[in-house]
Amino acid sequence: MRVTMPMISKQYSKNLNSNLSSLNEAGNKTTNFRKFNKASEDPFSAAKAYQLRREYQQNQDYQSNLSLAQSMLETAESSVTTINNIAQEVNSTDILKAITSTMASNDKKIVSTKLRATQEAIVSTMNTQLGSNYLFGGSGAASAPFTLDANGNLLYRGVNVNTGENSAGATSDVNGTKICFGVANTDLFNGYTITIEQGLNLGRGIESINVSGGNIAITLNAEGSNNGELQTALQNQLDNAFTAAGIGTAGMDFSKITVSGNASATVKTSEFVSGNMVKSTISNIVDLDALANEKIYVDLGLGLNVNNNNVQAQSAFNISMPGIAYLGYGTNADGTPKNIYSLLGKIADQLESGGFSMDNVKPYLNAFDDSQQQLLTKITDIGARTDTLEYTQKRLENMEDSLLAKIDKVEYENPVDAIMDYKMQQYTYTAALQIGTNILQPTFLDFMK
Amino acid sequence: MSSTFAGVYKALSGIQTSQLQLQVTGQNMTNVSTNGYTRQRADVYSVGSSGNNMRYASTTAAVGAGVMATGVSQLRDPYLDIRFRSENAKVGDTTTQLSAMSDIENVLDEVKTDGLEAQMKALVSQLQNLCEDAGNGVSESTVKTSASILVNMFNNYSEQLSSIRNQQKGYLKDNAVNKVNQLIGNISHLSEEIRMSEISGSSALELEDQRNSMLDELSQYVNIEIQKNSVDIGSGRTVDELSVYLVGASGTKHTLINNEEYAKFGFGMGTSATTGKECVNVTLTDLSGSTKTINSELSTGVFHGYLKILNENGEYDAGFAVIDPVSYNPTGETSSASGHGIGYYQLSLDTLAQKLAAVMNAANSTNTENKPLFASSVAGEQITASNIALSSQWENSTGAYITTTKQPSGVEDNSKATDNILAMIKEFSTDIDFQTENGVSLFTGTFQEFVTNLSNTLGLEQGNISSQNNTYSTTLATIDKQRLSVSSVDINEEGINLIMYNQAMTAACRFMTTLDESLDNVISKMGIVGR
Repeated sequence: MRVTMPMISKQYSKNLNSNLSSLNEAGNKTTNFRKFNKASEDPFSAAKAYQLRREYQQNQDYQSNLSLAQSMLETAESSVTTINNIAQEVNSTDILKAITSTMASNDKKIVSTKLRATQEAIVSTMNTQLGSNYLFGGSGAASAPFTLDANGNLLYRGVNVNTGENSAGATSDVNGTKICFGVANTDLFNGYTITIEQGLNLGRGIESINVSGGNIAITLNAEGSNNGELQTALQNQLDNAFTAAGIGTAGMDFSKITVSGNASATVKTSEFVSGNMVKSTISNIVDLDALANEKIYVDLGLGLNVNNNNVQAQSAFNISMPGIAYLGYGTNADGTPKNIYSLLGKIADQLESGGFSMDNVKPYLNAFDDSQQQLLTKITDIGARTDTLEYTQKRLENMEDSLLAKIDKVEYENPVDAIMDYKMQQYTYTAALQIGTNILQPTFLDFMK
Repeated sequence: MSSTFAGVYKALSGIQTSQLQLQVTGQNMTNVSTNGYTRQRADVYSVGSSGNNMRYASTTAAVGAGVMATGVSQLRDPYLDIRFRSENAKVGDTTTQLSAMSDIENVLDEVKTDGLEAQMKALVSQLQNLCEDAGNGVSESTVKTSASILVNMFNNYSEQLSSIRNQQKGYLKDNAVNKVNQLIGNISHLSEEIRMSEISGSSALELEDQRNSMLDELSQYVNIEIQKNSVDIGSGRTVDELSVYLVGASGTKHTLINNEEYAKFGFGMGTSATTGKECVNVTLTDLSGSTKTINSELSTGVFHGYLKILNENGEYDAGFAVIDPVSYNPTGETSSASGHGIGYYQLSLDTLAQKLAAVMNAANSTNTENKPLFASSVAGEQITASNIALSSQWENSTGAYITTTKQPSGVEDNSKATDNILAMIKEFSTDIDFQTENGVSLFTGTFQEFVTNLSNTLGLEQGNISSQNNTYSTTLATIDKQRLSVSSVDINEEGINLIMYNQAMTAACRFMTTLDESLDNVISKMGIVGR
């Protein structure tokens, strides 16, 4: 093949440029030791890298959730242990064990005063806050969970811990719409059912309210209604509806009826189950079991599984500690309350009353022993949860290490390799430059005479 | 018997020819570094003795009559030119696509910079944090801020991709189409000049070199075929006329240049008859003056590269009933997916924005209350990546807006329960089936995997086109080298030629002086006896 100067110079320049580009790339790698700077340089490694980074971020999220859960459990444990110590002290020979049928009235006074003071201590400890959260408030956010009503009964989030009566009065949940009928009206409404259905009148709003057969039937206009309209209608029309049904409404304050939530939220009609419209009960009794078993879940990477808004119990960590689960709730078979505060109150009442007898006090003392045992069980439960957290923490930390190692392997170059490569490219480039001058310069013309 | 002074003419022809050859060598040497220059040679023939005498045979020995230069010609291999131009089109095509893809990559790539996927991770982290303090409006504000950054990022991506699209349109219109029209005009004028010059006898080799360079450049833009027709101009002489054709994908040839007549390319915006999406049209106004769209005829070259980037929307082009663009009748076929141009990435982001908004809005709304988190900032329009924003309800809410729980509760306040927040977090790790509006499946995976899939699709395609580009470029360089091997000037060769022609000239001059001496003998020294 015929070879000419322009050919050689073009080829040389192209090769030199390609050497320079390799040198540049190698140089880039020594500045940040990354294997690739763009996904297009290595798409498969980039895909892996993205995935690993996601897992790493999730791991960090879990660890942060875990450290919060740990601090909550720590604080809770110390509070509950305090309660337990108080209970033990109360159950000692000084106080409860000192109650005999032959106690002097002064001694009775001393004991009952101590009991009242203990009650106060218990309430304030159970209202502990961590930051702005009430530790023992369960899912309730706004205010301190334990309060007292006008009669000195202990309320947990407005619910009497012994009877389950809601201090807000009778309420009903109709397919998502919550109606509260007011404390004053409890006697009237308790036991009724309520249904909401769609009527045929055009337009928006409430068509009619009828009371019959123990059921309040609300009919909406064809285009439906919202919470605000329903509230107004109930406040204004319910009185007449009851009167029309021949039921007395003396002493009822219908203006206290409220529909909770956003005033513009739509009112849903009652659901149908097996072809029958579901009648929602109006009741002022709240399920204390449900309150005591409320869960607040956080994701710790245990395989979160949520079905229809129900979080599967094993797939997340519960950080909820409803106060009544520790203090006890409800009543025993013999009518004695299970709640420690209430029991102390009852015992103090007995001591302060005129007709004191050991037979009356004994059931309460026995109940107190039982409730204290339950409290100990609950403390162990906190301990078990703390252990689970520790184990999970170790696991998460190990995963973090292994993820970091994997990320390093996928994305980063060994610094030694990168620098060696750069040196090689430098050498190649310099060699090419030197040879170039030898090829391009001499021609026949230099030797012509 | 030759005439007395016949030898002198022989010597003269030798001197003149050597002079011409030296001039040609000089021309070659001064143009050794000129791009596109083809080396020239004087066509030199020895002259035979004069023709046969019709009447009687000659008894004396016949000697040739010297040397004659008939002209100067170029040394070029036209077959290599054809191969070069067809390869050049492919290089132009892949280079254009690569440059646009690298612009898109700057927007979508998240290897070194934090982008859409990283922001989604941040939103999930904020939701995890919210579990600790659910129902608190203040804690929720961090989630709101994170979501706000996310929608801004969507808007940003969309805007950047739009601006890349506009840039590419501009390049096609201003750089490519105008350039090609300019080239076509120039080639046509040059052809005319070359033809005129050939008719008048001189071969215009330098103009031919210029035209060849322009044809090389033109070949980058469209797929051309060149034909040279020999035309008889009388007295046994022929002249070459040049025709340049655009070879379409179907094999049809569209005339671009026919001597001094030439066609013109144009640029227009329109919508595709089949998919209804915006598309860019390259039109050709042919020699008879009629204009038509020739998108389908451009199968390679820079034009094709731009058309692919601007008009092809990947899976978003599939599933439509194909409508013939000329007759506007359905052909009965269903369209299939095309290549991944800018439109694919823009529409993918739109699909992601819609899906994200739909899923999160449904998660936040209860069965009594519609509480959307995301909405379109333009009333009445469907959510796209460019108009996605926080819903006005969320923006204006002062307290807690995120639905933390959907569990029924007998007590008034159970907002600290976190089941709905966890449900929302779970949505981010649930596989979702992403589809185009026609139900063509795009990708099945989580939101974040969708984003990284876009970046990876682009990366893989870039890698593919880049290796094609490298292959074509290398082949082009090899063909160019072969071309240069045939037609470029070798200094060594020209140097040797210099010596050779110089010697030839010296020899011819010496012959002249020898003749001069011999004639001098005949004229001056013969017949002086008896003086």
